[in-house]
Amino acid sequence: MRRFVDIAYTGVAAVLLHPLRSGVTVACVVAVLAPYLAGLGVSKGVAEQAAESIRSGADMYVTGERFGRTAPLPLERAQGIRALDGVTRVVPRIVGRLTLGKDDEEAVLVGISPRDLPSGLRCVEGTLYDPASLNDLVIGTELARRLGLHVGSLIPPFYQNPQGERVSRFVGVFRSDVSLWQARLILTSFATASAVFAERDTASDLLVYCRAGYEEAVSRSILRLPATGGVAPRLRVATARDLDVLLPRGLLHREGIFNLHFLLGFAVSILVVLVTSGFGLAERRREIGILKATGWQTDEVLWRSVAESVVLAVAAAALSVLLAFAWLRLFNGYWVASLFLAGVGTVPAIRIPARLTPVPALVALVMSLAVVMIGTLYASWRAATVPPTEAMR
Amino acid sequence: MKGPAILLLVVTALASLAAVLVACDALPRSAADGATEFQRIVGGLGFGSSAQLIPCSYDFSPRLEDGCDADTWPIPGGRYFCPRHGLSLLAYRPPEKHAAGTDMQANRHAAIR
Repeated sequence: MRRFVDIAYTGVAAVLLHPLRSGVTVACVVAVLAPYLAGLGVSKGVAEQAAESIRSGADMYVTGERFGRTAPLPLERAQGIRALDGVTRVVPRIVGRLTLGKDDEEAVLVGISPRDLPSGLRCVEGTLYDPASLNDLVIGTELARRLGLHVGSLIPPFYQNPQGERVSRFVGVFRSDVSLWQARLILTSFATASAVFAERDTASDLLVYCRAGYEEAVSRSILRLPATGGVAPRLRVATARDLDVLLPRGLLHREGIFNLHFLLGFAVSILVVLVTSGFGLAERRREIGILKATGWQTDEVLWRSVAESVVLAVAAAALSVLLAFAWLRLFNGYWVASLFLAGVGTVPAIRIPARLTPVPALVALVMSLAVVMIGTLYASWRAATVPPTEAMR
Repeated sequence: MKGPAILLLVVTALASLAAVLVACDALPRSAADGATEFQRIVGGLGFGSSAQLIPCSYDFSPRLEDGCDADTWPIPGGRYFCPRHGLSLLAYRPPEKHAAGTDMQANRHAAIR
């Protein structure tokens, strides 16, 4: 046992024997792992905020459908839904896209007239719009920064409406940490949103609130409601439960090019470690040749390499976790957040939602061990199995 | 032999610090002050990894669309060209279809089978 510990200790010393090689190996692994961990951290943060949006949102969302695509709903459809057993409230909402400013900044305009607002709002700096007054707007932080707007700013008419256009006033700015989706949001009353989009008596969706246990029955009843008018869109319902099912539950749910990019990154880093640890480093081959010439067995050489790899891999994984943590928490996802989140700037104006959990950290350790071990052990085994005279040449 | 001992100490310290940070970050915590209030006011908004409605409003929220916008326009079947669905950090499938008429279609398909 003592012999194995002594050999392992020489492996630790070998890390210091080639500081440049060790540094390149650790840097190579950190360069791939840190953005991967940052991405997973942001993903977890977004999923938590999505869960909050389901918990605090409506019980179901009713939209119209034409040609298999979403279409606006006539407001009169709300009457039939309100009359259903179990429905407590139906709130029409408008969600639409518009561009503002000389650089055509993307904005999401939401028009809703909520009831029962708390007296002291914590999510807004300034005030919320008065549902009775037209063209009072609350703006998201990313949009406010890009357009140079603040509480009290007035903007000239930015829309066209046959009934006339008005100057709009920004009465509040959302706090940067309340949600990712407030970044480019403009929140206003339903009437103002109708005027901005020049759409009368229609809503993009109806928010339906119902008594506990009635969700399924109400959902079925809504779908059975008779159509009103010849060109009325068909109804489509998404319940809070449907949305909850969509939430990714683990690493395996992330897919597409996000994982593919990093898979390629790991493959390339294995090749880099291979080059730095044997194939490209003649000095290291000679060192193994000398060890063999002085009586070391192949398994002892490999054990020494394992110890060296473990030290390098643990150091690389720990540094990756620390770097990802600092990147997300101290630097608020500077640059990396704009890669993963559409509509967020290089220097985010919002608090980036992020959380590093133990599973990604353990995955980072396993990945790091795999990359360094594969890269190091194969090169060491090749050098240890040739005659010492050839290895030392 | 001081060098290797110091190296082991440094690596152990780094690993411990990383473990403590991850453990602290993983502790359950309540939503940010005002997050619940925001979602109540807007009636539940947002879901995916996008803060804007283009290129794909489905990536903003599946409440607004039940599939990728690019699927039908400008090229039919264009979902595979949608830039968000390549690098979507929070990939999710379309919600279960609840639309008027779909029950009837399902019954018809069942009858055919």
